[in-house]
Amino acid sequence: MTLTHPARHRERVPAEHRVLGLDRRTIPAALIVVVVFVILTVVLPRVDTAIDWDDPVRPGDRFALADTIEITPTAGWNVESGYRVDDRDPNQKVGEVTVVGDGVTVDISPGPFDGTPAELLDQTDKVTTLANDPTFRVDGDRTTITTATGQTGILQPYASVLSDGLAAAFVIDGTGLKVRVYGPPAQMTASADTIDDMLTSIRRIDEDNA
Amino acid sequence: MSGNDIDPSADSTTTTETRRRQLEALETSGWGERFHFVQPHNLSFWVYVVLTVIGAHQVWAYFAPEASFYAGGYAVAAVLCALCGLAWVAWFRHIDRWERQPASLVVAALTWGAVPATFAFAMTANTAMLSIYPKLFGQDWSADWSAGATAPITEEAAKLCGFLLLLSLAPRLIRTANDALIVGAFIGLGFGVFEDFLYAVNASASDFGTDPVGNAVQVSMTRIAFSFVSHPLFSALVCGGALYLIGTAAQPRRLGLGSALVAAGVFLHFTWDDGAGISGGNGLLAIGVMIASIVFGLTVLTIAFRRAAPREHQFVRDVLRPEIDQRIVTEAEVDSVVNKKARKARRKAAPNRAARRADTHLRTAILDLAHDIARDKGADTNAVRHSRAEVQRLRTRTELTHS
Repeated sequence: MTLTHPARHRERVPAEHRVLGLDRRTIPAALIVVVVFVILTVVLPRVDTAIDWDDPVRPGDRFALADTIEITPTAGWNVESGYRVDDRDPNQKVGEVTVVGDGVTVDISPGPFDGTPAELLDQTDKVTTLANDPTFRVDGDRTTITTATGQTGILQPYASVLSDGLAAAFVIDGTGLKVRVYGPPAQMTASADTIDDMLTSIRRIDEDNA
Repeated sequence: MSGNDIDPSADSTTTTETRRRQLEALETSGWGERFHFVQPHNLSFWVYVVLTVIGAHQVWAYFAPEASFYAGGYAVAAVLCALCGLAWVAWFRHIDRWERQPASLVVAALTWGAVPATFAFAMTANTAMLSIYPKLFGQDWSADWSAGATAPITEEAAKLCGFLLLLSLAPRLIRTANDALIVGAFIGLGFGVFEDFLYAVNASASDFGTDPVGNAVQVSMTRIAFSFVSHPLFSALVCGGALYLIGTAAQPRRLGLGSALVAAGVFLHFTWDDGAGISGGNGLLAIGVMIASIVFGLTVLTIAFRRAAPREHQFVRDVLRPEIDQRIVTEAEVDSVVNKKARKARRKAAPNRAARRADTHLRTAILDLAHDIARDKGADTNAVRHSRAEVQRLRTRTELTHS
C-alpha cells in the first residue's frame, strides 16, 4: 500500500475523500504520529510517576561520590541516584548522590574545583540565583561543618520559591561537593541530627583506611 | 515549469515509445515535483505545525532561563554546531544526486529533527524512561543500559514520526528508498546538531559553572567528531527501511529488507549509546565497540544505497532516452553517469587530470539536463535547450582534453 495520495497543493480534495475539508487519506499518518506523541509524552511520564522509588539505603551502604570520596547515608532513606561502593568492582561508578527520607531530600553533586569551600559556595549560590532559580536567596550566617575524618566544609541556609533548605560546600583533593538539603521546615528541623550525620560521614577513602 | 516557451514539434523527433517511457518515469518517480509545505487540507500539515510549536515552546523554556548567564558557552556551542551542521548539509546535498529533494523539503526535515523530535518528543520521553529504569532495575543497571534501552526507541520513533508526516506531505517526492535514505539523514542531522548543541550548553553548567566556554567548546568538538555516524546514519536506515515496509508507486514493498534496515538503525543506536555497558566498563573495549559500530553502520548504509540505486538509474535512463534517440547524449555517456564500472573505465582511459575533470563536468551537465527535463515535464523549454547546449559544449571540451 502507499500511505497517502493526497490532492496536490490548492487542488480541491475529491468529494469521496473529503471529510471536514480535510483529505481523509492524510488522516492515518497524522493519527499515527499523534498516538506516538501521546504515548511518549503523556503515558510514559504517568507511568514514571506511578512507580515509587523503592531502593532503601541498607545499614553499612556507602556511596561513591568520586574515586576517593564516599558518603554513608542514613539507613532506610530512599536512593534516587548514586552508586553503592563495591570494593571488588575495578570499574566502580561514581557520581551524584540523592537520597530522600522523612520528607527531606539530600543532593550532593561532585565536580572538579580548585578553590576553597567558601569560594565553591559563593560560585554555586551565584549560579543558582542567576541561572537556575531567580528566587534563590541565601538566608542566614555561614557556619563551618567538619566531617568525622576532619574535612571542613561551609554550611548556609537558603530560601526560594521552590524550597527552603541548606546549601553546603566541601573541597577535597581538588573535588568540590555541592550539597543541597531541602524539605518542609518541620521535617528539616526534625531531621537535623540525621542530616548532620550524613554530611559528616563524607570522607576521603585513604584517610578512612589509614 | 520554468515559464519558458515550448516547442510543440519537439515530440515529432522522438519515438512514441521512448516518450511514453519518459513520461511514465517522470510520473512514477515524481522527479521535478515541487514541495508545498502549506497544505491546509492535509492533516499531517496541522500535526507538523502543532508539534513544532510545542517543540519551540520547549526550546524556549529549556534554554531561555540560563541563556544570559552562560551566553559565552551558548554562543560558541551554537557557532560550532551550526558550522558542523552546514558541512553535513553540503555533503548530504552532494550525495543526493539523482533528483535532489527540494530545499523546502530539506528544511522541513531538518526542522522536524531539530525542534519537535528533540524537544517535543525525546526530551520528555527520555526523562521519564531514564527515571523508570533505576526504579525498576537499580542505579548500576541503569548506568550501564538505560541510555541504550531508551534512545533507540524514543528518538528513532520521534524521527520516524517526522518522516511519516513528510511522506504524507510530499508523497510524490519521497517515493524511492533513495529518497527515504536522504530525507531520513536530514531529519537525523537536524536532531543530531540540536542534540550536540544541547550537550554543549549543558556542559556550560558543569564544573559548577566555572568554565562555561571551555566546557562548551570541549563537548562541542567531541560530539562533532563523532556526529557523522550517529543520528543521520540511524534515521537514514530507519526511514529507508520504513519506506520499504510501506511501499510506494515507485518502490514495491519489501518486508524483509525494510525490517532489516529498521532493525539495523535501532541496533546501531543501541550499540552507540551503550558502548560502556557492552564493554563492561572497559575503556579500550568501549572504543572497540564504537569502531565496530561505525564500520557496521557505514557498511549497512552503503548496501542500502546500492540496493536503492538501480531504481534511480532506471529513471535517469528513461528520462534521457529521447535525448539518446536525438543524439543529444550517447548511451555510453548515460552509462558513465549511472554505472560505476563504466565511470571507472572512462576515468582510466582519460589521458590526464584535465580530461578526468572534463568528464566529471560532462556527467554533471547530463544530470542537469535530466533534472531540467523532469522539472519541465519533458517539454522543449529554454532551460532544456540550454542544458542540451551545455552538454554539447562540455562534450567538445572533453574531446579536446582526450585528444
